[in-house]
Amino acid sequence: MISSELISVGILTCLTGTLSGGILALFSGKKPVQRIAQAVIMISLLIGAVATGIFLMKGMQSLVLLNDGSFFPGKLVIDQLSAIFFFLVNAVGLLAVFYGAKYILNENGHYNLAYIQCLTALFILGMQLVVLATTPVFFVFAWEIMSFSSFLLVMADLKSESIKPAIFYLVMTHLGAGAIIAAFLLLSGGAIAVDFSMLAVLAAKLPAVTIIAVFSLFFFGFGSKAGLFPFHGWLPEAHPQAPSHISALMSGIMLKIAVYGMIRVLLYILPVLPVELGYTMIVIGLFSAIFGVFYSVIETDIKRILAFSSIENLGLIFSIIGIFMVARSQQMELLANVALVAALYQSICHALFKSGLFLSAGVAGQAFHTRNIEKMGGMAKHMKMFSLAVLLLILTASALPPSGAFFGEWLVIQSIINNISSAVLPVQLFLLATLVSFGLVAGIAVFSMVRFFGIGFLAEPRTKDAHVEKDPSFEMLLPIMVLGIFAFLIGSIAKPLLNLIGNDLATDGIKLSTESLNSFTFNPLILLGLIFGLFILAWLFRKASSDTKNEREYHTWDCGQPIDASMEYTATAFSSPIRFFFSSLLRANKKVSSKPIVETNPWLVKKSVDVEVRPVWNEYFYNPIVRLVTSASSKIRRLQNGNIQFYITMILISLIITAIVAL
Amino acid sequence: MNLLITIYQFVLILLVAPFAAGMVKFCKARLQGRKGASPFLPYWTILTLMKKQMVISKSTSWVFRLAPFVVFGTSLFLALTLPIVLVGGALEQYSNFIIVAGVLMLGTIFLIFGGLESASAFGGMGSSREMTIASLVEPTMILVFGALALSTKSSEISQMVSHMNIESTPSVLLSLLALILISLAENARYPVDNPATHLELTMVHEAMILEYSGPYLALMEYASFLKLTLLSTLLVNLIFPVGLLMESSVGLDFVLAPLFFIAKVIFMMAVLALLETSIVKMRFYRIHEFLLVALFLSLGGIILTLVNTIL
Repeated sequence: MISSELISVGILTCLTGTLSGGILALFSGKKPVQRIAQAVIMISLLIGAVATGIFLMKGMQSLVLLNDGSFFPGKLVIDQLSAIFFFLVNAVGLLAVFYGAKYILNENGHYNLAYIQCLTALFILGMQLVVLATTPVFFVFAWEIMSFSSFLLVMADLKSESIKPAIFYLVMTHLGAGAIIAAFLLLSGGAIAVDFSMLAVLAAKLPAVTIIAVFSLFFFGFGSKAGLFPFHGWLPEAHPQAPSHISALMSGIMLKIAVYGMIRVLLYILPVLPVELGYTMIVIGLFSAIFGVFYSVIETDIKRILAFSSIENLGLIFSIIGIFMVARSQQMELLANVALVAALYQSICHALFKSGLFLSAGVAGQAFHTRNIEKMGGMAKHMKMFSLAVLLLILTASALPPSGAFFGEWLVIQSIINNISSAVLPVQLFLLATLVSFGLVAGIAVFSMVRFFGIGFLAEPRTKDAHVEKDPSFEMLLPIMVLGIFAFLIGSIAKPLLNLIGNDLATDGIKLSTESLNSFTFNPLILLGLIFGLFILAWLFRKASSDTKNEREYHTWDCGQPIDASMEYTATAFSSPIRFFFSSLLRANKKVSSKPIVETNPWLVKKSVDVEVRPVWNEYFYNPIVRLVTSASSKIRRLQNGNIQFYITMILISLIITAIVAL
Repeated sequence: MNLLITIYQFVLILLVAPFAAGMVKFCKARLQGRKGASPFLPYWTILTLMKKQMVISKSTSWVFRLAPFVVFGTSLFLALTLPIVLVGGALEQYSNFIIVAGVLMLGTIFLIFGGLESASAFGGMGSSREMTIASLVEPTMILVFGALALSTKSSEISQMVSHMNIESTPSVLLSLLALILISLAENARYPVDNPATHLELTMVHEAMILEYSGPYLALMEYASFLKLTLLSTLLVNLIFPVGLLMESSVGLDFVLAPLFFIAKVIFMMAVLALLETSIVKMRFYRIHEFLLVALFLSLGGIILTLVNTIL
C-alpha cells in the first residue's frame, strides 16, 4: 500500500531530520545557523506528527519501519500503542522547540543556545526511539540517550545549584535503567537482541517467582522514572532546574515514556499477573498522588509546584494501571478495558496541560526574574492572552468540566461505581480506597492549581521590578496558547478519542471490547456548549437588565488606611489551612520570630514568619539509606589497608568462589 | 416537549430562589424574637443592585469581570439539570453526579478568583478558606453520590431521585446525613460560615464578594440564592420525592408542582433557620473535624450500601 510506505518514510525522515538538526546546531553558535537548525528539527517533528496522525486515523495495526539488522539491532516498528506516544513526543516536542530558542535568548547568556538545541534534539530523538524499539538492547540504548541528554540539559546552566540535582537525577535514573536491564536479562536469559514478541513467549514459560521479580524490577525502573513515591526525590529537584521548555518536555513527555514502558511490558511481554501485584501498584500510585498533591499545595517555587503536581498525576495514572491489572487478573474485562483506555487518555491530557504549564512558568520566571510565587501576581491585568491560556491550562489540570482531563477522571470514577458491586471483597476494598483517594486528590489538586493561578497571576504584582506590561513575544505565547486550547477542548472530542484509543488497542491483538465506552450517556460537546451557553446567557441577562457603562474605577476598599501589594495574601498564607489540617502528614514547622525595631520599645516589632517543610521521605527513606550506605562502606573500607599480600589473598579467594559458582 | 418542561423548571427556580433566601432570614428573625424583614426583600435587593453604579477596583483584571458570569452560569447549569421540580427532562443525563460536582467546583473557583483579585487580605483570606472547604468536601461528595448510585443503580441524580428506595436500602440515610453536612458547607451556612456576619475574621463567602458591587454583586448574590434553593430542595426530593413533575405529566400537575416546590422551600428554610439559631459557628481551624465527620458518615454509607447490594 502506497500510504503505509509514505508513513514509514515520513517517520524515518522525522528521525533522521531530528538527528541532523541537532548536529547542525553544533556547527556554529551564530543566529542564522541556529534558526536553520531549529527549523530543521521542527519540520522533521511536524512530518513525524502528521505521519503518525494518519497512521492513527487509519487504524492501521503495525508498520515495520526498518528491518535491517546491520544498522540497528532489531527492527523499528510502530504499532498503535507506540503511535499514540510517538505522536505526543512529536507534537509537544515541536511546540517546545519553537518556544525554546526565544526563551534561551531571553535568558541573557545563562545558556548556550547551540548546546541546548543539540541536546534537545537528542533528547527528543531518544524518546522517539524508545517507543519504536522492539528489542531490549535497542530499548535500553534509546532509554539511555533520553536519560543522558536530559541529565546534561538539567545542568545546562552549569551552576552549582543545578549540578547537584542533575547528579541526583543521573543516579536515580540509572538505578532505574539498571533495574530495567536486569528485568530484560532475567526474562530473556541473556539474549538481549530478541524481539519483544519472543520475550512474551519466553515469559510464559518462566516460573511465577521469576515473573514477580521481573515485574518488580520493571515497576521500580519505570516507576522511578515516573516519579512514584518513594523514588520521586529527584523529580522536584531536577525538573525545575532545567530550562523551562526542557522541564516541559521532561514532565510532559518523558514521564509518559515511563507510562508507555509500563503498559508495553504489561500488555505485550508479561503474562497476566497475580492480583496482589495490582494492589501494590494501586497503593503506591495513590500514595504518590496524595503526597505529590499535598506538597504541590505548600511549595512556593512555581516549577516545583508543577513538578509535585506531576508526581500526583503520574501517581493517579499508575493507580489506574493498577486497577487495570487487578481487573484483568479478576476477569473483569469491562473495568480492565476502561482503566487501560483511561490511563492512556489521562497521559495524553497530562502531556498537553503540564507541558503548557511549564512553558508558562518559564514566561512567569522571566517576567519576575525569580521562580518564587510569593513575588508574583498581576500578570492577568496586561498579559491578557497569556493569562487566558494559563487559565485554560489550570482548568484542565484541575480536571473540571468541560476540560479534557475531566473526562478521564469521570471515566475512572464512573466505571469503579459501575463495577464495584460485582467484584470480590478485597478488590472492593481497593476500589473503595481508590474512590476516596481520587476524591481527595481531585479536591486538593484544584487547590494547588487555583493557588498557582490566583496568587501568581491575579491582583497586583508583589515586587516592584516586575515586567508585566505586555504579553510575551509571539514565539513564547503561541505554544502555550495552542497547548491550552487543545488541552481544554480535547474534552469535547473525548468520546471519539477514547473510542479511537480503545479500537486501536483492540486491533492490536489485545482483547478489548469497545462496549466499555458505552457508559458515556452524555455528549461532551453538548456539555461544553451548555456550560458556555449559560455563561453567555448570564452575560445577556446582565446586559439586558442593567447599564453596562455605569461604573467607575477606584482603589480596593482599605478601611481608610492605604493598602499596597505587600499586604496581599501570600501563597504561604493561602495554603495555611491545608498545612494546619494535615500537619501530621506534612510535618511543616512554622516559626514566627519578632525583633524590636527600637531596643527599648518592646511593642514595635518586626515580625517574620519562616515555614519549614521537612519532606518525610528524606527523613524516613533517603537519609536512612544514605546512613546505611556510608556506614557499610566505612566498614568495607577496612579491607583497604594498604597491605599488598592481603589484596592478593582477596583476589585468590574471589577467583576460587567464582570458579565454584561457575562450575 | 421535554425541553419545555425543563425550561419550566428553570424559570420556576429562578423565580423562587430570592424568596428562599428571604425566607431563611425571616424565619431566623422570628426565632430570635425580631420582627424581621419581608421574605420578599431579596427581590428588591437584586433589582436595586442592578440599577446601582459599579465600583471596580484598580487592582483587578479581566478575570474579575468574568467571575460573576461563570458563578451565575454554573448555578444556572444546576437549575437546568438537577431534579428540583421535574424528574427526567431533556438534560437529564447531564445531572450525572460527577458533572454536578465538577460544575459546583467550577463556580467555586471563579468565586475564589474574584476574591483574590481585590488584592486585599480580606479577599485572600476568604478565598483561602473557601478553597479549603471546597477541596475537602470533594471526597465526601463522591462517596455520598457513589453510595446513592450503588443503591439506585444509576449515576444521574435525576434517576437517583426517582429510584430512591430508603426502605430497602436504609444505609443511604448515613450518606444523606453526610450530604446535609456538606450542603451546609457548600452554601456557606452555620456551622461553617456565618452568612450574616460582616466581621472580617469569621467570614468566608462574604469576604470574597466584598469588592463586588452593583450588577456583578447582584449576579453573585443571585447565584448563592440559587445554590441554596437547589441543594436544599434536592435534599427533600431525595428523601420525600413527592409532587414532582414527570415527562408524562399533564394539566393540573403543572400547577401543583410549583406549589409543592414552594412548600418544600419554606419547610427547608424554616429548618435551616432553626438549625442556625440553635447551634454556634465553629472556629475555622476546627472545620476539618466537621468535614471529617461528614467523610466518615459517607464512607460508612457507601460500605453499608455495598454490603446491602451484595446480600
